[in-house]
Amino acid sequence: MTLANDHLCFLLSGHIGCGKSSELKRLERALTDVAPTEDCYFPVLIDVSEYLDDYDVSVTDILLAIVTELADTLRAKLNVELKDSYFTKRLNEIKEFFLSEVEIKEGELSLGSAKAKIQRLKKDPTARQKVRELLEPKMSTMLEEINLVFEEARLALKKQPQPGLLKQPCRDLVIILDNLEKIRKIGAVEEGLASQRELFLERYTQLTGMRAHFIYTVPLRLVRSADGPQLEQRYGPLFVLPMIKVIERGTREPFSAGVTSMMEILRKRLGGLELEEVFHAEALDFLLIYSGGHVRNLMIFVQNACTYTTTLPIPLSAAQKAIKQTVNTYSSSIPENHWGKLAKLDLSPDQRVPNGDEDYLKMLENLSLLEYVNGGDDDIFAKAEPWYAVNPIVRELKKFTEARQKPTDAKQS
Amino acid sequence: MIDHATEIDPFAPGTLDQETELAALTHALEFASGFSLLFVLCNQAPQRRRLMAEVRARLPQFTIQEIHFSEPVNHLLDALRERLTSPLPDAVFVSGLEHSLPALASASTTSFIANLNASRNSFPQAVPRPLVLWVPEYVLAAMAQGAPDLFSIRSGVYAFAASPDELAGFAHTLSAGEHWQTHSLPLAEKRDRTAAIERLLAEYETLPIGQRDRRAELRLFDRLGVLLYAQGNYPEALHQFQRALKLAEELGDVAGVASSLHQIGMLHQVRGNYEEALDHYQRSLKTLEELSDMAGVASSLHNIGALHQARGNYEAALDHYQRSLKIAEELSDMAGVASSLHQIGNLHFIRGNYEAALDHYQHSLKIAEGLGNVTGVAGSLHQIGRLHHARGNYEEALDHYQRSLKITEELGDVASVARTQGLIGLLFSETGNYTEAFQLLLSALATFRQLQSPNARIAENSLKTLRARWGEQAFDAAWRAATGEDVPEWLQEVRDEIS
Repeated sequence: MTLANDHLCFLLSGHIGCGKSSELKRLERALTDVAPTEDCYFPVLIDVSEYLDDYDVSVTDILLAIVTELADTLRAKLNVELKDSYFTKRLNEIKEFFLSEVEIKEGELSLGSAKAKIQRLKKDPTARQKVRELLEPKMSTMLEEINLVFEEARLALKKQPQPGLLKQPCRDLVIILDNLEKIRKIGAVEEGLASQRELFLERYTQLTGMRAHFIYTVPLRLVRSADGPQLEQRYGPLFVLPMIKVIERGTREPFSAGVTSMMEILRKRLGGLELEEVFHAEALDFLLIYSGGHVRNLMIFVQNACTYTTTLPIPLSAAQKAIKQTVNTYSSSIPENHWGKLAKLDLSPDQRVPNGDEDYLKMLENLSLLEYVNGGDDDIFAKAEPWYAVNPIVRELKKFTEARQKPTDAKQS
Repeated sequence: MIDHATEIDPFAPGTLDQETELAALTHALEFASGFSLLFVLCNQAPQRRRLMAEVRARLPQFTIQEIHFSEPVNHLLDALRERLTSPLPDAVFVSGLEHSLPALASASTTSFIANLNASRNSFPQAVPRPLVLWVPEYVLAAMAQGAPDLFSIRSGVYAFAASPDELAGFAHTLSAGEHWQTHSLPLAEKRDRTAAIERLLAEYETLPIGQRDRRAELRLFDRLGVLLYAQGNYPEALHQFQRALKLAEELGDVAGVASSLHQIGMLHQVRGNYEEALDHYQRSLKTLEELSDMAGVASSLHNIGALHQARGNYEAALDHYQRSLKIAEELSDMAGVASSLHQIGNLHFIRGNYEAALDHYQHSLKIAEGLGNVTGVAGSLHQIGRLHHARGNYEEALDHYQRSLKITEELGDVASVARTQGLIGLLFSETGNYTEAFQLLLSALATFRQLQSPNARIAENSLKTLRARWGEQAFDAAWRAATGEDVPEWLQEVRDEIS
């Protein structure tokens, strides 16, 4: 951002529960927590699921969320009240749809105080529809006006901040939209991948037409689909948070650096206890291996294992019981035609996913297949290339081992 | 006391024992601070109520608010907000969510599930307490699939298998439909036919060797066996089928051998000798395939499916039923279609997918009614009663049970009579009509023992439960009055653990 002479757009992706939100929160802190010689950027982190109904989203909803959150953040962090008149006017035109009569009588609604009220639209489809009818015809104006709001905000950022609020003036805005990848349906477009294509690829001019630095979270399934490469062309650099690499590519031998960092993550959550005090060695190994490097899964397993024991350290038996329901879920929910494909991938020498196979995209979504990076040895291209491994729990299931032994599935190419 | 050190096979699908899961659930509630999302998988309403009471008993210091939805809700979070007490309880138990989900395969794409997923971030604020969703298996699957983001913030899933003394037992397994006409004869007529065939056979046997028609005798043994089987006279039926098998072998009648093996397999199956039953079915199936006897193949597949089901291999069972169904459809064998549908309904029932189960039973019922297959009708009514029972609709359940019982009594189908009596007994035991419950369960037990049926153990467990509910004094007095004997040892032992 410092080097660029234009606004940048970044994409962030990764499996559900891989730590995207945590990374974005870290980034939010890092952007303002800088040395006096470095540039400071003002982050606006928007959890879009506070505003949007995943199953019914329009682009105007997203724009409204951006303006509202920006105004709210500026007010909360910098005591700055945006003076913008365009959105204030629009808000007051539409407020009858989501405000009570009492609230309407309270007078003009200001941008900075609208957040909680705008968020009501998430749960009120009728009001939402009316708001859209009013705003959608004004879409291009809205984009222009949003850019004006950004200008106003930037001006405020460049002024010397009030003491105690920010260390130094900020150079620009960074708007971060988290949970955007969870959107399932846009307008009348079919739910799922088709809607995600519609939002990120068909409507990209709206998402990239705003003049501030932007970070969007995108679904891994879309990133790895045939349309994936277009994303980077239209937006900019894509970052994918992989699983923590706990096994070597191909051999599945433990990868000690990855295992150690998983242990570090765990240690930080033990409230001062040592790993040895909390886990029997074999229980810890078991949980680490079967997490597959997926942090949230590891945490769920650990939490669950605690309930299966009355004493510490947690024994292996409790760790085994903790994954039981995951075993049940996978063995009953993985579609029959996936087993052969999972087996084929597992047996393949390079652990790559065939391009354009929708089944593999589904497997990424339901975590039966996990994505890793840094699989190559010295080849820098291989190093950056993602590779895939079957979820270690799925790998132990009878249906998988049977499919793996079937020569036909393995040989098909 | 549970043995925490016992290692399990973590990768075999299935549920842990009840005590382990109860202890873990209790623990999870104690540990929780603020919001945590727990799922309890439990398919049956009476069992759910019992488990909830058990958790309460283990956490006497806890205030637990139970919220049961008996109507569909569109938005769970809003519905909870309306109902939560103030001050907040220490934990919230929610049940009845199955009413908000249709049975269809599309359960995971309903607005209820969509709202659930979309509101995931608001739960911690609205319900800053452990929230336990008690759901049947198919609801859990729909949530995991359709609300993955909500599902991924769960702290745990605890699963309870149906216990053997409850509705899990006494299921009406419809065997392949080939002899439904015989089974549907009124008892008097069955007795008539039996006597007539026995006379005929006796006459054949008195003929000089040269004049005997061995093939006719083979047909009569088989027919007699089917009639005796339909009256629950298993030892005699087995005897006739064994005679038929021997004769068919002597005659080199491979079709006859296959048919007898199939029938003998069924007699092993009703007594719970699953290994032997499977062995007989497989031998029979092999011959039937060689003979391209597709109707016979369908029957074999169906019964092998039922064996898998009895052993808890539900997916293998489903696969067999579906193959059998496909053949029956191709042959336009409507009785076969109906019995496959019935069994697929049973599988849905086991998974707690009551709507899908009901669909299948009703479809099967309609076909059976059209054919005049009263034995099939009785089976469907029995199962529909079980469905209502599992949902806690006792009146509806009782009505269906009684209609089924009326039919099977007329047919002299003692095994089905005992199964339905067992269920009515359970129902009365749950609703506090202990005297009636006692009589029915005792009668069912006597029949099951006579038939050497594995249901006998379930009836014993039900009586143990009844004794605990009713009180030992009252129960023991009733026992002595009914049997003239003291209460036996087995009744005083603790209930069998869940298998």
